[in-house]
Amino acid sequence: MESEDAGVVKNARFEQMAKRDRERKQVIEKNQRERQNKSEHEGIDYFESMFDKKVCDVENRLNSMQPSDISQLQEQFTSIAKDLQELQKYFTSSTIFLNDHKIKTCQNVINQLLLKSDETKSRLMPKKKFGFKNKSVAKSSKADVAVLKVDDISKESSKKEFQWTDSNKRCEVLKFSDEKVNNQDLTFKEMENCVIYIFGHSGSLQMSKLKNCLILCGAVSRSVFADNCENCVFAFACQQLRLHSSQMCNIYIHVTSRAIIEDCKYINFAPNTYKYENYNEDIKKSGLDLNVNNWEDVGDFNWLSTDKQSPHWNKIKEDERITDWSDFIENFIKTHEICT
Amino acid sequence: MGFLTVLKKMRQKEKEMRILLLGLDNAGKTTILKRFNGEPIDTISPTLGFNIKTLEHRGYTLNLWDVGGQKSLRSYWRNYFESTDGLVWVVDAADRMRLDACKEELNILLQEERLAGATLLVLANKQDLPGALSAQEIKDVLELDKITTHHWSVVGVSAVTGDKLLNAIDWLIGDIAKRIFTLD
Ligand SMILES: Nc1nc2c(ncn2[C@@H]2O[C@H](COP(=O)(O)OP(=O)(O)OP(=O)(O)O)[C@@H](O)[C@H]2O)c(=O)[nH]1
Ligand SMILES: [Mg+2]
Repeated sequence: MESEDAGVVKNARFEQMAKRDRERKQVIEKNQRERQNKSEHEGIDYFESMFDKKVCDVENRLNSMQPSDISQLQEQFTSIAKDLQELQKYFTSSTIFLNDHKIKTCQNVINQLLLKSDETKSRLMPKKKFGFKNKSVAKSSKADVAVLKVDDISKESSKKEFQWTDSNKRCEVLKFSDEKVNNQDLTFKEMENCVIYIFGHSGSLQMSKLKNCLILCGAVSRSVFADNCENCVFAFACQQLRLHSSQMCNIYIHVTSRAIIEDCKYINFAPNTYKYENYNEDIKKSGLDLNVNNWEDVGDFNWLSTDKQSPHWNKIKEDERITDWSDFIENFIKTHEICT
Repeated sequence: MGFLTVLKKMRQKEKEMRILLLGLDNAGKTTILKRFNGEPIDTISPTLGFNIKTLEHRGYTLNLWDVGGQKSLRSYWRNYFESTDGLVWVVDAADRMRLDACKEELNILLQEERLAGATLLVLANKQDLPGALSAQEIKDVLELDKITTHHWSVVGVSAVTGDKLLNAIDWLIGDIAKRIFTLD
C-alpha cells in the first residue's frame, strides 16, 4: 500500500518535471519565434509607439482625475494600477530587444507614473478614509498574526564568535592554503600594505577596506565580492566578481560568468596571467571552466549606455600587463616597505 | 473521478501566485530561481534588470519575479510590489559585512503598504559554506521576531546543493494558499 503510494507520488513528480521541461522548451521556442516576428516588424519602433501611446493614456487619465465619490475613485485607481501593471508587463517582455539605456529610460517613465498615481491617490483619497473592501480586508486582518516557524532550530550548534580569515594587518606577507582554503568562505578586512597568497579552491572570497595590497589567489568556485578597496592588485579565477566603491585597482581575472563594478573609478582589467604550481588542478577542483574567460565583458552598474565605453574601467594594454610575477612581487614588497 | 474533484482541479489550475524575490546583490536570488526551475546555475551573471519565470508547482501557477539587488537597482524594486502574494527575502548568510544593510532594506520593505498582504519567506542562503550563519542566527540578526505585520518563516538553504529549497517554497505556497484561496 505504502510503496504503491510512493510510486504514484514519484510518477506524479516525474510527470510534473517532464511537463515543466516541455513547457520550458516551448517557452524558449515561443520566445525565439516572437523575437523573429518582432524583428520583422521592426520591433523597436513598434514597441516605442505602443509604449508611448499607453503612457500618454495613463497620464491623461491621471491628469483628469477629479475629487468625487470614494468608491468611484477607488475603481478608477484600480483600473489605472491594472493598466500600469500591464504596461510593466509589456515592457518586461520587450526587454530582450531593447538596449540597456532604453530599458532604464522606460523603467523611469513607469516609475514616474507610479509615483504620480500614488500622489494623486493620496491627494484625492486621504488615508484615514480608506474604504477597503472584501479581499483587502481579509488580507490585512489575517496578516496581524505572526507565524513563527524556524525550520532548522533543532540542528543549531551554538556558533562561535565570527572570525575573519584575517583582518587588521599592516606590512605583512600572509599565506593561506589547504584546509584553510578549500571549500571555505574567505574574508579579509582592513589590511594595508600586505601581500596575501591564497592557494587552493575556496567557496567564496570577500574583501573589504584593503589598501595598497597585492592579492594572489587561485580558484574561487563561486563569487568574489570586494568593496572599499584602494590601490590594490588582484589576481584570481572565479565565477562572478562584484567590485563596489573602489578605486585604482588592477585586476587580473579569469571569470566564467561576469565581472561587474558599481561606484568605482580607475579600475583596470586584464586576463589572469598569475599561475602557481597547482593552479590548473585547483581550477579543475573548483568546477570552473578553464576555457571560458569573460574578462573583457565588465558590467558597470553606473554606466548603462551600450555604445559608449564606461569611463570607470579600462583594459590593461597587452604590453603593460604583468608577465613576470616573481619580479613584480619582489618589487611590490620593496616599495611597500613590507617585512618578510 | 467525481465531478466535484474535476471542478476543483480546474479551478486550481487557474490559481496564480505572484512571488517576488528580493535581497542584496550576491545573495543568490537568480541562482535560487534557476535551481528551482531545474536550469544550469554556473553561467549566471549579476542581474541587470530582472528575470521572470512562470511555472507550475503543486497545482499552482507561480509567477516568480527576480529583481537585481545591486545598490543602483534597489530604487526600482517598488515597481514590482503590486499584487505580490509572497515575498522571498534572500540573504547571503556568509556575508557578515553587510548584515546591517540587509536588515535595513528588509525593514523598508516591511513598511511598504503594497506588500502588506504578502507572506514573507526569509532564505538564509549559502548554507554549504562553513562560515554561513544558521537560520536561527539570521532570525536574530534581522530581528524577525519583531515582525507582527506579516506571516513569516526563515529557512536555511543552499541554492548550490538545492538543500531545503523545495521545503521552503512549499511552506510559502501553502501559507499563501491558505490565506487567499480558502476565501472564495
Ligand atoms: N556557495 C554558494 N554560492 C552561492 C549560493 N547561491 C548562490 N551562490 C553564488 O553567489 C553568487 C551570486 O549569485 P546570484 O544568483 O547571481 O545572486 P543575485 O542575488 O541574483 O545577485 P543580483 O542579481 O546582483 O541581485 C554566484 O556566484 C552564485 O554561484 C549557495 O547556496 N552557495
Ligand atoms: Mg540576480
